[in-house]
Amino acid sequence: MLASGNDLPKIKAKVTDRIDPPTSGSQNTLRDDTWSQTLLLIAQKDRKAFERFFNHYVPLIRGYCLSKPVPDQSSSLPDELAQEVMIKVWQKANTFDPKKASASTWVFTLARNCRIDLLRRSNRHIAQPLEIDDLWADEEEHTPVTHLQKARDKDLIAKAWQVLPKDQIQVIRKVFMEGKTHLEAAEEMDLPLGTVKSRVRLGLKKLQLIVANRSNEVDQ
Amino acid sequence: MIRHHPDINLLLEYSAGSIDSAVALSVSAHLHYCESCSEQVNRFNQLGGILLEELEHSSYQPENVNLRATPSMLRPLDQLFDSVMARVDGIENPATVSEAQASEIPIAVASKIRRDLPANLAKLIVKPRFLKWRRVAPAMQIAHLKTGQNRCEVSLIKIGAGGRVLEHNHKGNEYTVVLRGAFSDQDGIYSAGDFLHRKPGDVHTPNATADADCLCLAVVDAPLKFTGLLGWLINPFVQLQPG
Repeated sequence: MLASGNDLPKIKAKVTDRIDPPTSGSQNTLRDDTWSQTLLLIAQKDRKAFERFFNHYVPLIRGYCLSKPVPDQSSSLPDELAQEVMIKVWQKANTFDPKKASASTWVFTLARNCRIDLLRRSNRHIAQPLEIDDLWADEEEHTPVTHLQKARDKDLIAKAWQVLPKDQIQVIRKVFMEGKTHLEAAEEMDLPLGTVKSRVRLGLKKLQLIVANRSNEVDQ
Repeated sequence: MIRHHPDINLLLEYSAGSIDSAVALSVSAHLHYCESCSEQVNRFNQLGGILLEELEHSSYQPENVNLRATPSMLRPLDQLFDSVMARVDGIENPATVSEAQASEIPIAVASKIRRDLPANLAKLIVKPRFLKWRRVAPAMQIAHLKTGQNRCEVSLIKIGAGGRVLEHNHKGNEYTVVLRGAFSDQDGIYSAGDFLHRKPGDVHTPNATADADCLCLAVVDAPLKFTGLLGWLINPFVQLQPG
């Protein structure tokens, strides 16, 4: 964390010098730092920075939305979602803390919450006493920085993901990106629920995503 | 000391946003008390960030859509950008009232009033006189909570000190979070922050410990079924009331 803190001014200078952020997938670390720094510029209402951020993340948010379709999903939902998320990015960039989350994690939680909110608004006419953010809170706000994984840990997770066995990648994608419950994933793949659950756990353990004192639970 | 947690798979479904909002309420109530599970969810959110980025440069692309070339049913990026900027300018113009419905009671105020409870629950019960307590057993009262969904019954359950609750089994899933006090059943002791997930077919007899009155949040996706004669008599009063 200290190291990345020392790097900040350098990276910031790079961002302002550069017209287009790097696009190669091999530069994940720099990319994520770059987008974090871009968010800090957006917090100061820098429209150029916002446009760069927009052009990078909108296609990803659309892809996220397309990867977990709901029945009767309107064909414009990906665009609606992308707009909602980007409005939130513009409005909430000043709450983003690069020490606590990476830009992509931050965008992921915004996209997840906005998507649930959009679906809730379109499906129901029941009064909503709770906001989506009350249910899927930004826990990072309450978690001390020392307890959060640092950006470099995120690179380790990304690397471990590349070499994860295929069957584990498949179930984690189904449960995580396609928004299926474990039960739905099990039915779809014609596997026992227990197999799907343990496959997911094994994968998460290999990604070193399991908090230390929970490893017993994974082994059960 | 929290001893009972949601399992890893449920936390993953929570982080993915694929569970029902009422179940999410019970998980978030537990997170209010549990640093370890909050950290666990944060890590899963990181996985979400990684998988979001991965949508671009991995072979995995939903429905083979090329994300960088705008799919036909979607609008070109520059148009979309212009309409977002028009909307944020509109929202930031003080003459325009935001469409977002501000909730009646800000969550910060709610959690100040009932500071020992998770803020979202405090918001739901900030006016306690609106709670209608029904006595379903000598030592057990239930008040229904309106949470804006119709798939699960969400209730607060009060168990008097030393009280014994009827044996019941589960047709559906029951998620319970202890908010105050403690109770125990054949599997252990549950105190503030502890999370229980009972699956269909489980039978248990919660029995509040004598030391304190107990308050729990219960989220049920099918009605409880009390077993035994008295349970049979009481059953008609405990029907699923989604909302």
